[in-house]
Amino acid sequence: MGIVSKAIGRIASIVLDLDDTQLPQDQIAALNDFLAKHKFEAATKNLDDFLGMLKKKHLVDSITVSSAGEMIASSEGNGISDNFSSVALVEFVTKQLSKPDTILLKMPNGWHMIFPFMQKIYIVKAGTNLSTIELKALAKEIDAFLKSKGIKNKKNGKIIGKAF
Amino acid sequence: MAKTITFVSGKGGVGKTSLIANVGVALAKNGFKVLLVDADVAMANLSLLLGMQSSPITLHDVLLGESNIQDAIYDGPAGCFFVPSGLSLETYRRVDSERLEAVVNSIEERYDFVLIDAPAGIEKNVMSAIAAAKEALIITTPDSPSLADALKTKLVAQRLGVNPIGVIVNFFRNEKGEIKPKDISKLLELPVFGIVPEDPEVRKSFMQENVAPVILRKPNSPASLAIKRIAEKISGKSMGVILEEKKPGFFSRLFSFRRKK
Ligand SMILES: Nc1ncnc2c1ncn2[C@@H]1O[C@H](COP(=O)(O)OP(=O)(O)OP(=O)(O)O)[C@@H](O)[C@H]1O
Ligand SMILES: [Mg+2]
Repeated sequence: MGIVSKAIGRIASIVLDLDDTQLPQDQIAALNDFLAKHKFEAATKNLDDFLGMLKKKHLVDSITVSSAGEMIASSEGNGISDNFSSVALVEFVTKQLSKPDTILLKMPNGWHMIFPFMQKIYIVKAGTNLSTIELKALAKEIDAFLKSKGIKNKKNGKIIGKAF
Repeated sequence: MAKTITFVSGKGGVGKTSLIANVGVALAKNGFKVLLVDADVAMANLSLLLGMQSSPITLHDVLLGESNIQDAIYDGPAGCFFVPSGLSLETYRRVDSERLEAVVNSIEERYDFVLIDAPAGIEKNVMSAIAAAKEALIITTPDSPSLADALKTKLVAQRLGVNPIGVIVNFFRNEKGEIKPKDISKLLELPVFGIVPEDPEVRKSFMQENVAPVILRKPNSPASLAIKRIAEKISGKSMGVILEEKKPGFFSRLFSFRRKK
């Protein structure tokens, strides 16, 4: 009985193909969906569009860039006041302690991150705090974009470049 | 200038450490100067697989700024070099993994390849490991949970400005329910750098008196052959057969780790 039923079972499984493994099509479709939501168009030439794209790509709420004390780019309307307080904070911390890699402020509405990098100050707000590595990657992307647009660091309070 | 590549996966246990050790050994055996860096600062495994028993100075000490990277480089099998991560939980709590990029930058020009073994996940230590290299190789198994994590990992690499160059499919069994490598490639939008079969010889690496990567123990096993092809793809150099060394005293020579001066 044992041998016979085993043999029949084996034949049945070959004939009927009882192996029930098959591709999880729904899950693959879900992954494709996920991917479609994370496509970022970096080809834009417009500064506002670029910052909007960066916000999505880096999962942050706002980005403001300051050079020589003045705001040169911001994804939000409140960029100017963020710029003033951040520049003052960096100066204060540098004077009282030493030059910081980042200043992280935990506010009731999330994190404010102030990141001095290559003669500019980047002010980033987000629900969670970014590591220095993430802030640096973000800053590098912005820097490359500004350079490609001819927006250089400010000199003597004047913006060098044609975008303004 | 070295090619610097981080092996990363998102999901744990998919074979990052096994692949990096074996690819590193295959490259070294073919005359390349290879440095393997165990950037899994919490769960150091790479040095165990390379047969290293104890290492007085580790990456922990370097990241803490207490030692020079020079003093944390050891001789590994087949002429490769490696930096062990450190087993101490106490130093792990204090290390700043963000310094890894500067550490790698300071030595990379002395090697043909610097391969970095990343931890699982997508948290800070993983990002540090990714950002320390110019390129990332994504490791996945042919199933949806692993692939989902691979996707996220690819996005993280891109966010950090690191170039994902390809995907390696490990634990391949060629079963009906498995996601096919060509579909994995399509989904990740990355070329397949290798398909490594599930091979019991890989796991047996740790079950020998002298632990050694499978490519040295069983160079003709299916996984070893696939790994050799990955090394060829990474280096652009054809490698012929990797011979099993049978000379007496081989293992004792292999595991006589000396501190690099
Ligand atoms: N192709 C393979 N065939 C069989 N076993 C394998 C294969 N690749 C890896 N393994 C085994 O799977 C286990 C996990 O592998 P490994 O430690 O390399 O993964 P990992 O991705 O580095 O894990 P972690 O995320 O914990 O760092 C090990 O026991 C290893 O020997
Ligand atoms: Mg590992």
